Parts: sequence; structure tokens; C-alpha cells
Amino acid sequence: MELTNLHIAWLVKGMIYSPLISMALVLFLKSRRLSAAISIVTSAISFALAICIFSTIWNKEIIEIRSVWIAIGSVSIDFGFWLDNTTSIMMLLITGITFLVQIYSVDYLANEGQINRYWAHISLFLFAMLGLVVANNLLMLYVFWELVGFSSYLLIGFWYKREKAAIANKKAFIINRIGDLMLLIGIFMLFIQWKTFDLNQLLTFDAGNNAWQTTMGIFLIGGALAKSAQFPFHTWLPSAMEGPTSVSALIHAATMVAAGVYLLVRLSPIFTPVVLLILAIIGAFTAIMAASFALAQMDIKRVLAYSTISQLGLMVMAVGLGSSASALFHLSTHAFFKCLLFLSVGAIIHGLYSLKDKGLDEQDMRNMGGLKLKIPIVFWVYLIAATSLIGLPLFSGFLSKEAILIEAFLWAESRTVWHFIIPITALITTWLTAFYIIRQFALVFLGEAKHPNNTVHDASKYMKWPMIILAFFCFFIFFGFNPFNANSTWIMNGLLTVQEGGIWAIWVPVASLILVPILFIICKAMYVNKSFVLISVDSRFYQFFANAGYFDELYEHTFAKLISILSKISATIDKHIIDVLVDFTASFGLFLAKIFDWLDRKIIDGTVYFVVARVRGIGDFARKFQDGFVQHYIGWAVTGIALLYIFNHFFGL
Amino acid sequence: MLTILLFLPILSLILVLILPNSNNNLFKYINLTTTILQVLIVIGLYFAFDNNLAGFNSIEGFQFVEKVSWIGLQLGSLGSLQIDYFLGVDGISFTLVILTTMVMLIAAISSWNIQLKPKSYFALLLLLNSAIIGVFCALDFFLFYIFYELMLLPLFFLIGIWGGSKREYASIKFFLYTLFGSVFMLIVIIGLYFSVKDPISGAHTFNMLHMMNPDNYLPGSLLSVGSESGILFGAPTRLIAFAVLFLGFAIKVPVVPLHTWLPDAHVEAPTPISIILAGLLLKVGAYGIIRICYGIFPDGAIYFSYWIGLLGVISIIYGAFNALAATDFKRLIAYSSVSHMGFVLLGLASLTVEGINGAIFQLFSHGILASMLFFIVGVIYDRVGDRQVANFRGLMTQMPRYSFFVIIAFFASLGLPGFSAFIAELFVLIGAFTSQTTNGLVPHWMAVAGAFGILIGATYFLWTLQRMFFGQARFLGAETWAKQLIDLNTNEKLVLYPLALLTLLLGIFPNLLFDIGNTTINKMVDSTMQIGAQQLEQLKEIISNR
Repeated sequence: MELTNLHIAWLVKGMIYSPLISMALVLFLKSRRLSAAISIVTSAISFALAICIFSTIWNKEIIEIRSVWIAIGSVSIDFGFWLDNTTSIMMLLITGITFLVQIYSVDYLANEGQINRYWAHISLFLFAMLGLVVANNLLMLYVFWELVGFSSYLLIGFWYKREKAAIANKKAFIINRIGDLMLLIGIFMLFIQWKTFDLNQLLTFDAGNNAWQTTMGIFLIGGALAKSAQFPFHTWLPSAMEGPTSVSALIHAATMVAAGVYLLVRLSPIFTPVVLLILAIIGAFTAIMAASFALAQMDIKRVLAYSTISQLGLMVMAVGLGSSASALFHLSTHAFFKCLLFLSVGAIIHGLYSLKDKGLDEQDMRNMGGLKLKIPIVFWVYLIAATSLIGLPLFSGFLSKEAILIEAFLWAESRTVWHFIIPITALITTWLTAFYIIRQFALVFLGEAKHPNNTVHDASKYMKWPMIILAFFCFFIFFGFNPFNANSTWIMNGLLTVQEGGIWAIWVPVASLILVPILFIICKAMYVNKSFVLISVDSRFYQFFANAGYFDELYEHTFAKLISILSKISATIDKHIIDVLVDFTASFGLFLAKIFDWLDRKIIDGTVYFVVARVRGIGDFARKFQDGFVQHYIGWAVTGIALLYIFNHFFGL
Repeated sequence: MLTILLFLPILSLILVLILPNSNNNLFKYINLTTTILQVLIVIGLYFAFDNNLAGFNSIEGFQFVEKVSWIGLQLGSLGSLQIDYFLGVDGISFTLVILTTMVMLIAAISSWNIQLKPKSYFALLLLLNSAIIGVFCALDFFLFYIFYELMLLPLFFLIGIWGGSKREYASIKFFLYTLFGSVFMLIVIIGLYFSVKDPISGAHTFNMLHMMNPDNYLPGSLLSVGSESGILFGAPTRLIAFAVLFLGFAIKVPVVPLHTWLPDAHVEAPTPISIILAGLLLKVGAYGIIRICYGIFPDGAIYFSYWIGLLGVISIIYGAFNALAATDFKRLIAYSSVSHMGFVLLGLASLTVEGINGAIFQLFSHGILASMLFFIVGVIYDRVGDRQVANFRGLMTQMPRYSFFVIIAFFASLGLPGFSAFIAELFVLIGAFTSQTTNGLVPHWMAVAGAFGILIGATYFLWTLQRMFFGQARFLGAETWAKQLIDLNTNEKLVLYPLALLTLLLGIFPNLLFDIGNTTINKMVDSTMQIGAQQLEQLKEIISNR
């Protein structure tokens, strides 16, 4: 049956709204099992619908379904869908991985009280993430972009009673908010430039090369860099590991952090060359920086967090190099193997909970070791995922990583010698990647168990199957039939035009892989047999990397301090300047009032009193004459007559 | 209908005054019934309201108009003094009338536990109710002024008698601040009265709509455009009049640096009065700016737009920083109001359809959210009599339902999409951002600075969540408090559910509100830009000819 756009619109709506409905239901449910069931079933529905939509639109004409949400003045904001190959890949990834992680969570969080909000928040996340990738305009994308950040906030703070989690989710949200507002300003600039928010219009505009557009591009990429935890915004992601590991796997490895790369891919047509170069530099720098930090981490999850930042750096770099297709391809393969790495690490932590009772950190790799035989399933899936991350042939990671590297060398080749810094940085990153993941592998699985205990158990039913399914997707065969050529994979074919690698197609894989066996031997000697130490743990050099370059401290002492000082200053102004002025005005009024009062009493009243007193004085004087004695009256009368006579006599009146 | 809306509280007030003091519990029911009836009337009006009529400055666009001659005095050579009882609403004022009845209902429910002198309390509350409705409906400037002043009286006593420990200081500060504004307003009103004549009867008039039409100004009068007499101290009198009126209303909004009455008044006021103060009083200030300043003096609106925008931006950022520094939960919310009201000013200054729509939306949205936030503070203050941020920790464990609403209110206020404040701030920022290229009034950097204010907003709300709600439960009052801090009761849920749903509803379907005001706002922007620019041109000519 041929599906019309109307049908497809309904499918898309069903896909994005079913998790929303789930959230609304679960919030008001008490039953654990029911809430889990509702949340998982709705994700399954979304996944099924995503497959339907995918099969309908893959490699077909782009479908846009429009409907106006708000129209005010010259602004019209759509709530519509934009469905092309990029969207459909993202849809599949998001729904599929969410579904698997949810199943995993059933066992993983089996011992948690108040689990309902977990399911509600995961459903909210799925809704927001799907809305983000189907949005047909930037403002709608922004709406979901923030909602994704909100659900991430809620999930990082799942264990809100822990002080660290409460600080981590605030940090994540605020750093993301900085990016969000940059993105919003970028969107406004774009609106001023082209009077539209619609994605379909963006593709038709010329990238141009002027200051306005470069500034706009810098604001726009700010949002993406924050969400994808790129330098200088990267510090929130390692802290976000305070959330449950299933959340780290889903949101902070596979899907949400990839949203930044997705946005960059969407916007790449309008970036000026300067912006693209900035992207390439930031991506390459972040990649190598985070990979080197990962080398020195002891927390099992933090290694993976820095690894994620590093891999996202490679994708951002790829977009900057103009190779969105390879960025998206790496995004897809990375989503599977990194998610699987996190899930297997989660399984390990889950099994080691007894360490906590002994007062030990169950995430510290120094407390692990020798787990290989105790948890064979986790061991194997971890190994597959790690191999894919290193990028050995036959694994999906090989295809996508080499695709990016080859693109990078081709890009530099057509430019100056200096441009080779970027591909070489990326190449070194792949070596570092191999190093840190082999190190982790050796510390966790090989050697002797540091704390032999009985609670370690292999993955249980609900945790096992999602991991096995994800492991399947770490092999090349799912993506293409040729294990050595990325360009033959269906994802690359479905995206933009691809260029042939030429000479680099041979040399790059050789260069990136040649060190792997050596690294393996070194790591084994260092971390299993302890036969030598490369750098002392106590050395400043090592501590610099172990503390991730002291970025947290730097930000704490600059930006956080600045904000806090500014807030104190404004409080002071309020209290000691404005209110003092107000109080002064009031007291000045009072003072005036007192003067008037004084005038009233002393001058005006005084005059009145004076008059009164004089009148009274005269009255008193007059009263003296009338004291009620007749003889006095006669006396006064005689005196008066006598005086009259004298006056008359002498003055002749 | 507007008369019924206006006099219903007065009737109830008389009833309250007649009833003996012994029926203490009856008063709150009377008040509640009154507010419910008002909400029902407004719902009726909502369906009768025609969204397509553009009011603002033409009587044809006003709806539910009632006009009765009220005071008519023959003053001999001065002509006749004519004050009309003249009511009517357009898209802008109707939005605020809707808000008024809703906030009043919320205040009625949250007054449920008032124990001290309930009779006088509810009498004053009803008087206040009537006065606020009156302000939003009045189309005669004198009538407006009466209602405007009438609001002050009950508020002064409501804060001064039922308030906290420093209530007398707060209420006097509040009274003096606002009185200061009113005095100037009275001068301008008189000036306008003698400059404007009724085009039909030829008599002087207080009719606001006549004042908005430049043709009705007596040539050569103090406030007319295009004559030498319209100059005072070397500046056009009209611009001075705008500035003076603006100052009076800005105190109410409040605008930094005229805002310090607000934190004090809020901190001292009882919860329901805080709700009215933030939910409605601040809106009266903004409404005055829109209806009176912008309506009557469009030239001033254009002339001062940069400064209005600047004051808005300062309020946004300065208020946010102060909220960050606040240690009292209620003070924090009060300063967040200052910050959020700054967006209204920024939107107005932009004089774009988007910006002003955003500003009106913000008025409504903030009315809901501020009510919610102050109610939230009231919940814990009711229980333990304390609201210092540092004295609470881990409330989420202690009161999960309550914390649920706190998270909604906080995230809605910090502009999370899906809630009303996002739409409002989005449109204000779009308006501010497009202004430079469309009408050149507000520069780009102000929009960017406004966005920065949103960031600080996120900071203080999230920090409060972290400090008060997350972590292990630990209170200053230890066990005693833990016993007192019980989760929400039915009454409180009855307030919080509708508010939360309303902010969500408007965040998802903003057209419900935009549709009411949009036509009027379009007209407002058009006529303000057109008439204002023309008048400003004339004023400049006169000044340069001198």
C-alpha cells in the first residue's frame, strides 16, 4: 500500500506521542510493574512505528508535513515534521536503543524504591528526543532541545538524596543552558537574516562569507557544542555520571549527546568556512584532550565519559571538515558500542554492590580485576564493544572511524601543510583510544581479583539480552557487506555523496591499527603484571590528566565566582544604595515635617499664643477692676471721675 | 456585564459588613463565592468576546462597553466638568480581567486559614478585588485614577495588619513609593483634561480614547502637538508628561531602581496578599504603561524606547542577580518577579507585534507563575513559620507531592519550553531582536542581555532546588519540623493543580491567549508607530524652530 503524507504524519505523531502518553500515565501510577510495562510497551510502539516510517521514506524524496503552531506578526512557527534519511536514521537509533536500555533497566534498578519517576522521565526523554529529530524548523527543534536537557536533568538527579547528584544535574543543566541560549540567539540572527525558521529554507541559502553569518554560526554551534559536551563546555558530562548507568548509556553516550552532532549536520550548509574551521579545530582538540584525560581516570564510568567526549569530538571535527555523512555514520556505530560499553560496565557495578558495604568505591577500577571468568557474558559483550571502539577490522567502529580519518586526510591534502595538524591529531586520538580502553579492559577483567567476593554475578535475564542484541550491531555486517569500505555501507550511501579515499584508504587504517598489539602488550605489562610504571601516579603530569586538566576548578574560580560576586554586588546596591536613598528621602520628609511642626508650634502657634496671652493679660488687668466689692467700684468710679476732671482741666478737652 | 463584575465584590462587601462578627467562618465563603461567580462571568464573557475587533484607541473595538454620565458640574467660565462612568475592554485589558478573576480565586482559597479579624480582612479583600477590576475596565481617565488609588488603601492595611514582623515599615514604604507616583499622575490628568475636548459636545473630557486621538487636542493647549505652548522648560510638555506618567507606573511594575518596596512588601505580606501583589498589582503598572503612556503619548513611546528597553534589561539582570543573593525564599521569589517583569518592559520597548504580544503574554504567564511561586513559599511558611533557604534540606524526601509542584513552577519560571513563560520570553526576545532591523528602536545587544538574564534565572532556581529540595532531609527545627512538614493538603492541591495545568496549557496552546490580544496589539503597534512618529516629527520641528 502506498502511504500518503497524511498517513505518515499519523505514524510520526503516534511515534512521538506514545512515550508522552506513557509519561502522563506513569506519573500517576503506584504500581512498579505496571509503570515499567507501560513505559516499555510505548517505546516498543515507537520503535515499531519508526521502522515503518524508515522503510517508507528511506532513500525517497524528503517529506515535509507542515502545520502552524503560532503565528504572530511576521513570525510563524510550525509544529511540523521534516523526514529525510538523516531523520530516519536518528529515529531508529533513538527508539531502538531506548527500548533495549529500558529492558535492561528492569533488572538494573530492581532494588530501587520509587521507580515510577524513572520510567516517566525516560519516556519524557524519548518524546523530547524524537521531537527534536523530526522537527521541521529550528524553534520547534529548540523546544525539544531544552526538553531533552530537562529530562537529562531529572535523570542525572535520579538519586537526588546524594549531594553529588544534586550538584551534577544543576551543573549539567546550567552549562547546557549557556549553549541553549547561544543557540537561541543564533536562531534569532538567522531569522533576521532570512526571515524563516524552517529547515527546508536553510538548504536553499548560500553559506556566504560575511561577519554576520560567521557570528551567527558561532552562536549556533555554541548550542551544539554544549549538548555534545565539547570543549569548553565538556565538564558537565563526566559529572553527569552520577546518574544511573542505564541513563548514562542511553542519554549520555548514545543519544542525547549526539543531538549536538545532529544539529551541526542539519546546519552545516549555512556555516561559513571560518565556522567550519572552528568546528574542525574544536572537534579535534576535544577529541585528543578527552582521550588523554581518559587515560588517567580510575572511575570506570568516567573513562567511558571522557571516551564519549572524545568520540563526539571526532564527529564534530568531521562536520567541520564538510563530511556530515561520516559524522552521522560514526554517530550511529558509536551509539551501539558505547551504549553497550556502558551497559556492561553497569552490569559490573551492579554485581559489585557489596564493595559499597565494605566502604569501598564500587566504580573504582583499582578495586576490580580478574572478572573475566566470573562474568563471561559481560566479558564477551564488553570485549566486542571495546574492539569496535578501537576500530579493529570486521567491527562497525572500524568502518566509521576510518571514514572520518580518511576524510580528514583528504581534506588536509587539498589545503596547506598546516591543515595536516587536524588529521594527525585525530590519528593520535585513535591510538590514545586504544590505550585507555585496553587499560580499562586489563584493569577490570584481567589479573587477580582484588576483593574476591561472592556477589559478583553474570548479567541476569533482562540485562543479558539487550546487551547481546547491541553486541550484534557492533559488527560490520549490519552496516554493509564489505568490511573494509565505509562507502559501501547503506548509511553512507543513503546520506550525502561520498568521495573515494584513494591512497589514504590504505595507509590510514594501517597507521591507526599498527600500534594496537603493542599497546595491548604494554597495558598488560603495566596494569596486570605490574612489571613497570610509565609515569608515577603522584607526578604532577599524571595528576593533571587525572583531574581532567583542572577545568572544573578553573570554572569554579572564574565564572562561578564572578556570578556570585555580581550577585553580592547587586544585593549590596539594593540594600546600601537604593534603600538608603529611599530611607533618606523618607527621613528627609520626616525632617521637613519636623521643621513644619516646629514652625507650627513655635511661630504660628506661638503667634496665636502670644495674641491669646496678650488678650488674656488685658483681660486680667481689666478683671482686677471687677472684684465684686461695691466700695472698690465706687472708689474706682470716683478715681475715674477725678481723672476725667483733671484731664479736662489741664488739656482743655 | 462589566458592571456586575465590578460591583459583585462591593455587594459582597456590604453583606460582610452587615453580618455580625460572630459569623467568622462565613466571610471566607462569601469571598469565595464572589470570586467563583466572577470567574464564571468571565468565562461567559470569554465566549462572547470577539477576537477580531481591534480596540486600543477606537471605541468601535471595545466590547461590553457601558457609558453613563457620572459627575457633571457647570464651572462657569471653565466650562463643564464631565466625568463618565465609562467601562469597556479590548484584547489587552480583557486578558488582564481574566487574569484578575483567576488570581482572586486563588487568593480566596489561600486565605482559608486567616484567623485574625476575618471580617475586616475579607472586607478589604473584596474592596481590592473591585478596584483592580475597575482599573482594567475603566476608559475614563478620572475613573481609572479613582480605582487606581482605591487599590492602595486596602493593600496598605492588608500588609500593615496581617503582615509579618516588619509589616509597618513595609506597608509605609509601599504606600509612600506608590503615592509618589500617583501625585504626578494627577498633575498630568489635569493637564490632559484642559488640553482635550470632546469632539461632539466640545467640552473638556477625561475620556481616554479621546485623549488618544491627536485631533481632539485644543490647538495651543499645553499638551497639544505642534504649538509653541506645548513647551515646558525647553522640552516638549508631552514628552515630560510621558516620562512623569511612566515613572508613576514604573514604580508599580516595578522597574529597577524603583523596586525596593517590592521585596519588603512581599516578605512582610501574608501569602494571599503576596499572590495578589505579584499576580495583579505589578500588572496594573504595566497596563498603565500600555494603555495610558503608550496610548495617549505614542510620541513618547518612540522617543523613550531605548531607555525603556534599557530599564527592562537592567531589571531583568539586576533582579536575577539579587534573587541569586537572596537567603530568604520569599525574597528570592520577589526578586525573580522584578526580573520577569523586566521582560514586559523590553517587549514594550521594542514596539513590534511580536514583542508586545510577548509582553502581554508575560503579564498573564507571570500572573499565574508568581501566584504559584508565592503560594509555594506560603506552604512551608504555614507549617514551620520559617523560610530561610539554608534551614531546609531534602524537602523532596519529606514532601514529594509538594516538590513535584515546586519543580514544575521553577522550571516553568526559568523558561522551559512547554510552559507559558517560555512562549512569553521567546516572543519578547524575538521582538527585541527584530526591532533594530525593522524599526530601529531597541538594539540587538539588549535582546542578548535579556537572554543572559534567563541564564541567571536558571541558576537561582536550580540552586534553590539543590539546596532546599535535594540531598538528605535535614531541617533547622529537626524532629519538630519533620513532623510539621507534612505533604500538601486538599486545599493546597486545589490551588496548585489548576495553576500548573494552566501554565502547561498556555505553553502548549499559546494561541488561546494570543488570539484574544493579537488584533488589538496589531492595531496598537500600527497606530503607535504611525501617530507617534508623526507627532515626534512635529515636536522636533518646533524645538528646532525655537
